[in-house]
Amino acid sequence: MQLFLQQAVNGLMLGGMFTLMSIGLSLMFGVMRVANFAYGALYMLGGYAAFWASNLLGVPNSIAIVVAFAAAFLMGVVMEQVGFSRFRGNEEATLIFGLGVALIARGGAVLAWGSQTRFIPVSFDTFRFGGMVLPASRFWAAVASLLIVGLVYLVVNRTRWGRIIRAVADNPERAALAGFNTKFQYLLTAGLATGLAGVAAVMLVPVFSLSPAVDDSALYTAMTVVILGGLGSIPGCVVGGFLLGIITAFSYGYLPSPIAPAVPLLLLIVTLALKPEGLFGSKDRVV
Amino acid sequence: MSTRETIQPQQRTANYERIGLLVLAAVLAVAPLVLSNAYQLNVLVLMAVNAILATGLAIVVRAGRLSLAQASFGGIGGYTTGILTTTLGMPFWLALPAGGLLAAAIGVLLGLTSLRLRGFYFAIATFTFSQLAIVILRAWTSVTGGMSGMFGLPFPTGFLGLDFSDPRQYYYLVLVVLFLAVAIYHACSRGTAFGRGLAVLGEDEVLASSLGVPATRYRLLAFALSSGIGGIGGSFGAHFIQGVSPSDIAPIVSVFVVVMVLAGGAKTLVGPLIGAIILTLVPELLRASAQWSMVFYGVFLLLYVYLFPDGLLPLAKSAFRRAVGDPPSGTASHRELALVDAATARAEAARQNQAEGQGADSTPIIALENASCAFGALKVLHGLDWSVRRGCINGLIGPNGAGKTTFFNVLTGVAPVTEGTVRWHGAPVVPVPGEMVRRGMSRTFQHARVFEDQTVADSILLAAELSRRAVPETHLGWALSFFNLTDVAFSRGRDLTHYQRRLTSIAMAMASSPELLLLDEPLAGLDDTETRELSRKIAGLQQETGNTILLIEHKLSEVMELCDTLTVLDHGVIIATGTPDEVSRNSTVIEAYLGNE
Amino acid sequence: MSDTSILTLTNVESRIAGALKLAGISIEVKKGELVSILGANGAGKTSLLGIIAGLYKPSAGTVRLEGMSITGLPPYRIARKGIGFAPQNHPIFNSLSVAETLELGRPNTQIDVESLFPNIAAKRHMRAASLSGGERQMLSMAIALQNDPKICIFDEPSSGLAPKIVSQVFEAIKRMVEAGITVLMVEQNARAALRFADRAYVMEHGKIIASGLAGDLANDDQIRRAYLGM
Repeated sequence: MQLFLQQAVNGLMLGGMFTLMSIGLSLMFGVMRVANFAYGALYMLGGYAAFWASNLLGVPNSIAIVVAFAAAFLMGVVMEQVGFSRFRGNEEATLIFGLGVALIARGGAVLAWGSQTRFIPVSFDTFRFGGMVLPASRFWAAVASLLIVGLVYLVVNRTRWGRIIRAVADNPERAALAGFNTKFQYLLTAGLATGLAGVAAVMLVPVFSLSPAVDDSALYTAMTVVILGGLGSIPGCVVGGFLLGIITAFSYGYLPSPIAPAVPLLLLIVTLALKPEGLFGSKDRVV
Repeated sequence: MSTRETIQPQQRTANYERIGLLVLAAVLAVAPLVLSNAYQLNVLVLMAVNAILATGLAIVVRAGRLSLAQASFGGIGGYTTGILTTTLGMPFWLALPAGGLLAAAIGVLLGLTSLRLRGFYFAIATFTFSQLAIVILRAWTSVTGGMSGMFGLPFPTGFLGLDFSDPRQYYYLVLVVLFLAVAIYHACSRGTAFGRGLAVLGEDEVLASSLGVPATRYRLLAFALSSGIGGIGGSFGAHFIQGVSPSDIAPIVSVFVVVMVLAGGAKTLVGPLIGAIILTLVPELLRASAQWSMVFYGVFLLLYVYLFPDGLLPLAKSAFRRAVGDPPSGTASHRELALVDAATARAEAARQNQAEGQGADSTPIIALENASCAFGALKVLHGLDWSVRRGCINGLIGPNGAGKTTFFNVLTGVAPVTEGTVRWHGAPVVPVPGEMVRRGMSRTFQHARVFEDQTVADSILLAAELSRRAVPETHLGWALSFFNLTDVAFSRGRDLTHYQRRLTSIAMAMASSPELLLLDEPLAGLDDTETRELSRKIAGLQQETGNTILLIEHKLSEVMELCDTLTVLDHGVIIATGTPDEVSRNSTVIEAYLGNE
Repeated sequence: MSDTSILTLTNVESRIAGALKLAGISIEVKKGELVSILGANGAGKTSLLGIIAGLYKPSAGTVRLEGMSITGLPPYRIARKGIGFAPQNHPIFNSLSVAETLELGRPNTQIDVESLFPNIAAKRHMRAASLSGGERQMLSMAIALQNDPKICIFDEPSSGLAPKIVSQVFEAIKRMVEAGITVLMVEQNARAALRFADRAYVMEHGKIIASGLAGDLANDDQIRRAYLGM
């Protein structure tokens, strides 16, 4: 029972963090229909930006977040400008472009900073409830995640700007004819989405550590969450994140550690095979 | 088939391709004489193994799916033969087919997801699969050696005095396998029914199915071949370096194979091979570290997507053609068409015979009995009883959203019949898209679908070949003249006007000499002149061939003139049937559809 | 109807790959008018509207809105200057709800869109993707009416719709004009277009070959037979 509760709590915290890791991709893939295969690499680069900011310049974490957001925002804008905008509607080219950028970023990161694992210094404080242990860094990351996701949800679904970006994503030409500057909206959304990947990296590096190889796991975690929850649905992203977090925590808690990583992968494959529109997505957005 | 050969604009290109392949084979055969030290031979074997994986992957790419799991199939092959030869002591040549078959079987399982997934989604599914494969191989330590993998795999047993522990002889062995793989890949090109099916599946799945391509079977077969070839290639790779580990099948290795296929030219015979050669050799020549190789591959991907999106080989081809002053393909001379026109008379005779043969039988060609169609909770058609009237033009009208297109989809098997029965010539059937064409029913779509990359003549020939019901050349001549498409016979689908697309799509549907032709809003988007012209053609088509036509149409004055009988659908229910006159006086129809104008 | 000119095209010409698609097109729409452009497929009607809306750039000539040149501006800036455009085949934003679509811009002050299109007002909470063809057209026209445009442009509003819906759409356009909204529309259904329009232009092969009061054109036997298929 103790293990069960502990894993449940771990799962919830993990879920919060997974959601945070995915919210940018949800915005980009889910809302703007751009599957950015360099998302993991941008997350990784955001993490390095924060790492160097805090290690070399000794800035506090709050500033590191701003640095990581700005760096990732800029990269997102550049990728949109030189790549995604050119290849819109051509899924293969979009995918290849993202993969190309990811390979360069990953190889370049190893060349520049080495392949060793880095840590951002973090407090080892813990909260204790009953017999359960909550590491403070995980707890705050999960809380921050919910706040950020909530904010993004409100912006996308309850504001005029949110309606505009959904309209632009839906039918750019019609949106332009209705008076919206689609190019600008795409750039802004791409920047915001990848910027969020940078923010996620700062909050999550203390928990998951940082190396050039995190890009794969970040990409596939985010893809899993977005697909589980359903494209275009931010509540879906939250549900997907928590589902993946809880399932991951319980598989690591109860299964032999070599097999545990298979469970979330199987979950994604089964979802793709049986319900590719995800739990909250609607069918017409998939094919 | 001789007419097909003459009309193929790509014939000259095919010759170049054959010459290119021979030159390439010669270069590969003498390569070990030049690159002869141990390191260079290692690189050559690695290159040939990569070329096998890439050639295998190209089959799936041709079928319109980008897989990020080809290295995993190589791994499945390598691990299978590794386990069988070491742990179980089986001879390599017995283990090899097992490795290939297991990879093919798992490939078919992964291929099953491709029936529903495409684009990004399929790429993600394969990406996840390749991660899963790693987790399993790592976890199953007792059998696979876990993280560090297996080592001490034996070289293939020699025969006829050959010794495969010699890297040069091993290289020639792999080269033979590579050419077998290329031969299989060649059999998946336009020269065979399977290859034509794959090509059109890659271009437009819905249209391909409507023309009679057994989409599911072909796609799964493509996956079996692709992953089987991958498995065999992986075995040869593993037994050369005498080891296999999870890092050999990392997703990034699969990405490298994708780069080879795309960068070389996925739609060409030797493009994947060329891609593998360049992308294996260049990093090795530069003595690049793993991370520099990664950057190199990344840069190469970007170059590919910006500069040569068709691949290097087509790029080289067009440069070569410019150099020798050859006209580009696609502008074949029109002289061949004269040859085809001679067939028109024969075609006409055949059609008249067919028309006379029909008519005696009074069983309706197709009928619905209490048929319903629902998507989940949403019921679109409610218990319809209906049959088509033979040898005349049947109209299906009704407000938008009444279920007219679903009605077509039920007849063609695209939408499910959730209750009730469909009868074909009196016998109950479960319609399946490809099969209904073979039975003698074809259709067009609301948005005139044509193959964007194929010429009109090629599209019509393809349609006839795919249906296997008509002599392609005979039909082509008839169709081009009947639909006035001779002038645009060599224009590609994407360059046609809306009206020409509509005509081409009907010509393609007619290519199977259907007994029953379904036309979904044939007149939509046409102006008044075109509308009148096409109406006349539809009437003429029915008279000339004696077939039965069912059409959905909104342009009422044409419908009233053209159709012999009308069915009115509203909210998924038939609210009236009868002659145009009867229907236009029916008060329910006026209320629901016509309005009181 | 006043004499203020809203939209003026002067000698607009368009070449695609050297071939002349539109030649010397001059058109004027005055405040409060309903003007129709008629012609066969391929005559260049939709290209012309595309040039007005900024989707294509003309190779020569000018487009003016209330006397100010808007030639060559990007579509969104032209839209903001006061052109409400509902393109062919009624494209709308499928993933937005009807209410969200109606709130994309400021509501029209000259006419109440909800009473103009009661069908879509009744489906406020449904997703636009679930609308029927006629409802899509009405929602597309509602988008065009947002932000009080100086002129509304409708490209083939009746195409692909059931006869009953077609008359509803034309009825709605009539009510817009009665409310003082200026409308330019391209229509294939020449008979209906001439019945509702004040004036019309007839296009053929990228040129304007006839223009005048709708009633006159409808009664001109030569034009009727040769170009309008009536």
